Amino acid sequence: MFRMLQRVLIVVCVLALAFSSVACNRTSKESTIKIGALWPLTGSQAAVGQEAKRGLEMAVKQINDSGGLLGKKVELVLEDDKSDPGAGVTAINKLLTVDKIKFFVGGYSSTVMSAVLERIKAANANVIAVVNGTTSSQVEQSLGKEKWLFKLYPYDYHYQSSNISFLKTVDPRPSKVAIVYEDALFGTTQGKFAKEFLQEAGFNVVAFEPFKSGTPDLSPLLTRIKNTGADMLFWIGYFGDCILLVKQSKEIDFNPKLFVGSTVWVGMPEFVNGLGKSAEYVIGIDLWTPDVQYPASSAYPSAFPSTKDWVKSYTDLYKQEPNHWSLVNYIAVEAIAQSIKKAKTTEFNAVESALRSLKANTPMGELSFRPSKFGGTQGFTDMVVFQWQDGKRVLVYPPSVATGKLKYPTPAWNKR
Amino acid sequence: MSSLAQATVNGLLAGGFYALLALGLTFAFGVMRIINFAHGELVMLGSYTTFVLFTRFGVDPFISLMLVIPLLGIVGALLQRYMIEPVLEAPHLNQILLTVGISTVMANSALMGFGGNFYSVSTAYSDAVVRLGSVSFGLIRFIACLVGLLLTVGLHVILQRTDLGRRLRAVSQSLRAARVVGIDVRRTFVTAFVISAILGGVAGVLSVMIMYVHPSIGFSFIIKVFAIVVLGGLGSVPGALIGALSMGLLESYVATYVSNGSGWAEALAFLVLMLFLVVRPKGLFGTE
Repeated sequence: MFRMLQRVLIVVCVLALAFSSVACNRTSKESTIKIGALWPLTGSQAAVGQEAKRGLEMAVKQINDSGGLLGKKVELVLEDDKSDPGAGVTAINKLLTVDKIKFFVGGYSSTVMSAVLERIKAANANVIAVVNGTTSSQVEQSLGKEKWLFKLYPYDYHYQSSNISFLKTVDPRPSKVAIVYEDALFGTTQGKFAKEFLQEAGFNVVAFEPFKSGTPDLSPLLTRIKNTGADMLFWIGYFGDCILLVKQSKEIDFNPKLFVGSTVWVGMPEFVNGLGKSAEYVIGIDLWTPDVQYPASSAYPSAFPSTKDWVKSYTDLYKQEPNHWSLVNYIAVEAIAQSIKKAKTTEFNAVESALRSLKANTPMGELSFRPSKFGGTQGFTDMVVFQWQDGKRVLVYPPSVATGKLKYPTPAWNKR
Repeated sequence: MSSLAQATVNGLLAGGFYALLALGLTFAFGVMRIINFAHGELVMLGSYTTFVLFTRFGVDPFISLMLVIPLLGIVGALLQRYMIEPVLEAPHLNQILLTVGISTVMANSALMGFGGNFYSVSTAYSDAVVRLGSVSFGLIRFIACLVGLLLTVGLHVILQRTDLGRRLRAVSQSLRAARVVGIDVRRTFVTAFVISAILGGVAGVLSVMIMYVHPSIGFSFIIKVFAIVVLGGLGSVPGALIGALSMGLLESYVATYVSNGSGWAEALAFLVLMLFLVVRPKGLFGTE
């Protein structure tokens, strides 16, 4: 009996496989314009990849619903890099040789993307890459000058310069700053720029300490920081680290005047859900939040609606609040699509120059590609700074997007 | 001086939490001679259950223990009966591959079910703070440490003083001899694994309040816990507690008093692990 069941199952599996490959062949014979994308869909950074996926699919749906491109449908070929450089290179090889993509969008981790972009360069396949993650400026230093590379997402120095121009407006200034950063590539490069910019701005940095991301206990580090008498805690870390740094500051009664998480993780709804009242007064930085309001593009009203309309279509579709990872992917695909439309061809040089001259108001603010610090071509550069007040993100900087005033100084834990 | 007291308290509390995480792993090894690399995922399962009960139904995390304990017991029994048991007499490599496989399946199922987000449970008391003079610490961390201590003592008593304990020790010493004297080996193993899984679940209930949960948290736990268990002596229950407390204190002192110490603290765990593997492979309290 069991034997027979086993055999039936095997036959079913083989048939399923056969049919799925037939189905694959059929779609590849159809003429579509393929856009390859690479995000961590599984593994520890999967939340980012899943959010990116929603933005990518939303853009492709928008383009295809409004008639496609040059009479063809757009097809998204999304691969999983598993947050691993090896898996990333395998995936990009597949995209370049099997799918023969001409347009690429991705990806999250600087380590993975360094390897992936080097591979695209080596393939010399006339692929236009819109990079909408990857904060490490080492990538810009080694590959920024490549003609095919369009960097949409800000680099580490953009993050820190935005945040520090905000800190310069805090009055009176905190007198002793402690910087703690996670000790992998993300934290060390951001930490270096943060320290440099803070010192340039005249802040007194009394501690500059690394920690291991994901460690279950940060109280020893915070005890060390507390001993320095720091009155501002400035950190660069991943989501779990942000939760622990705030929670454990309360546990050991460490009371700086400012809690500044110089990382987008502080803005996640799970941050305030996980911390409850302790999240109050904490400051974070983001490329974009749904509270920012930008008008629709006059040139591309259906591709780039106003922030409010875009957020509405996203929430209607996915029944949750978007964050910048979906939007920045949506914009990357639309930017490529609108450039193809303008160029009236998918030929590399024509699309490349159309993308280079693209100017549009997007739901994330004004977009155009300009030269940047280390010779790269950069899309977005400015971040927004917010503070958690009564369980909501209140934008406090820059003044043009602010939705409220900074609450400062942060009261001591036992006075809240 | 005050910072020394604070650093010691930090270290002890971290150690107590580590002990809680390590207990189930070392216990399963002590009885069955199998390293369960999926133990971190059992902790994760406890955490997600607590999280879901709390956010969907408003169940207090400590009350959710009433569901977490039977749930993990059932999962433990099923895992033992249908997964572990067939490989118990297979080479160690096969057992390791199997438990690593279980761990991967569980982590990826969590990813599919819950997405990659980090979740934490925040109750009215979960960030309560206890202040004693110049020293202060989190209430839940203190409770977790206490639970870790109590469970260690309880488990030790069960092993040394009860009939079940004698059976458990007998099967761990010699399978054949245990069978000869009429011990139901299979049932004893299921009991052992059920206890181990429940210990993991209890750790999960506390860790989702202390820290957070996400699909790959099991992996990050297992690495540190493995170092602790080797330090204390694989399979030794009191050894796990001593190993955990030493590790907690060591990390705390280094991170508090050495510049860039937090970056080093993690490396330290593995330095200790390597040192013990070379110099004293049986650990502090190990028997072989």
